[in-house]
Amino acid sequence: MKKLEEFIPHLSICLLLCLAVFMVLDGYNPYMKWLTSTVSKVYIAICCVVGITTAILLIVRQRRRKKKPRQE
Amino acid sequence: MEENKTRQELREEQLQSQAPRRRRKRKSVGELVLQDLLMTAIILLSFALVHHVIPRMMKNSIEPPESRSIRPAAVETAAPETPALPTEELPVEPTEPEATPEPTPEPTPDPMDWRTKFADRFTDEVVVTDHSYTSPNIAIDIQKYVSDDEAPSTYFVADIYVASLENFQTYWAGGSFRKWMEEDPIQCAKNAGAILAINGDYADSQDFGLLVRNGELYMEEQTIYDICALYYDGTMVTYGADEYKVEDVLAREPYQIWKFGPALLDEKGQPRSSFNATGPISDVNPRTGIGYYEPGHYCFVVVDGRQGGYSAGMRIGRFAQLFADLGCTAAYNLDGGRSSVMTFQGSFFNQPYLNGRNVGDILLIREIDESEEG
Repeated sequence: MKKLEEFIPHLSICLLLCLAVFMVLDGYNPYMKWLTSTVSKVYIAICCVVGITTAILLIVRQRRRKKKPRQE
Repeated sequence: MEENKTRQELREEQLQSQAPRRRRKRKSVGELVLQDLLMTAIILLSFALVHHVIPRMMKNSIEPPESRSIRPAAVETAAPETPALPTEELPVEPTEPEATPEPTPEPTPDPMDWRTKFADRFTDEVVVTDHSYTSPNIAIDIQKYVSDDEAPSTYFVADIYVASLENFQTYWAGGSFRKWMEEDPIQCAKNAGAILAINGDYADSQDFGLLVRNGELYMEEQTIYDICALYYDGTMVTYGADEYKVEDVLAREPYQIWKFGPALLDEKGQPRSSFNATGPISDVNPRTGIGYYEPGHYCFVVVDGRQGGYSAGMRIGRFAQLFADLGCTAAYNLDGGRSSVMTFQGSFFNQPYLNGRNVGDILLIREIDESEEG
């Protein structure tokens, strides 16, 4: 469970980065129809930023929690 | 004292033995970022492999999508027009002469009789030069121009007259529509028996949109892209993404529908005020487009690009202006970049960027065998 807890934020970062790459590709070649509606593009962009930020904060918190017992 | 030392030593030993394990466990921030980026790259590459590479490799085993003929019944059963048989002269009983005989109305020209309409363009025999082709059914004249823009571009305009819409066809790479099926454009042109050909709209990469080729309907879905429809009456109409309904377009009996775009001219034959294309697509590029003057009279235009000192390419607005200057009433942008090619009599007429690439479909002009007519 602890391993999963550590792994999921990293997985979130990776998947959201992939989504961000699709958004960039869509801008260059919309003909491939990666993403279509402008509204959903904005929504996805916000989700990417929020998701990556949340994952980073979670990783930082996990690292701090790990650090504490060693300092005692 | 000894006991204390032993405990201290033991603790140090314990710490020393644990230290490397802890160092292995804890990764620096840089390492974590690198690890995440690596994982992202692996996911993206796996996706590309599954979504792009493997389907292309397996293209021959992909079942071609079902299509249905939407050729109008009149075209399906069309027979060469036969001259009206002379009616038998019957003995006429003498009648009282009419005071003023009504003048016989002049026959109205058949708008679909392009052979008569463009008779001065066609020749009785096939005449071929290095830039033209004329026959009883087809007249093609290709001219090369250099634009006087800041970054000059070389472009080719093929002026086309056809006696029948059947002379204007499209051809799928490999002979039938399959996703990712692409072929050398020269080979496509040869297989199709094309006199003149240009690359198509990259329709093989997609399984959505409104798609009709040579009277076969492959897909009927509204998309966010502009379309271009060539109808059986020879008229060509371009539609903005929100300017048409699929059922209305199909009801008008389309012969071809392309789905790349954008549409270049407005209803007055002037460049549109805005184009349904994003930055990279509307930027300076090698380009291919089709223009329409009137039923039976079309043009293919190819702009070379990305070749310093020879030709830069054109922005989408400049490309639209080119069609407006040619006098077209409708024009449509097709796939460009390295795909932009024009072949004439089995070889490249333009100078494609990096010698071009395989294409999924072509637009072509060809002679029709007697067996194919009607």
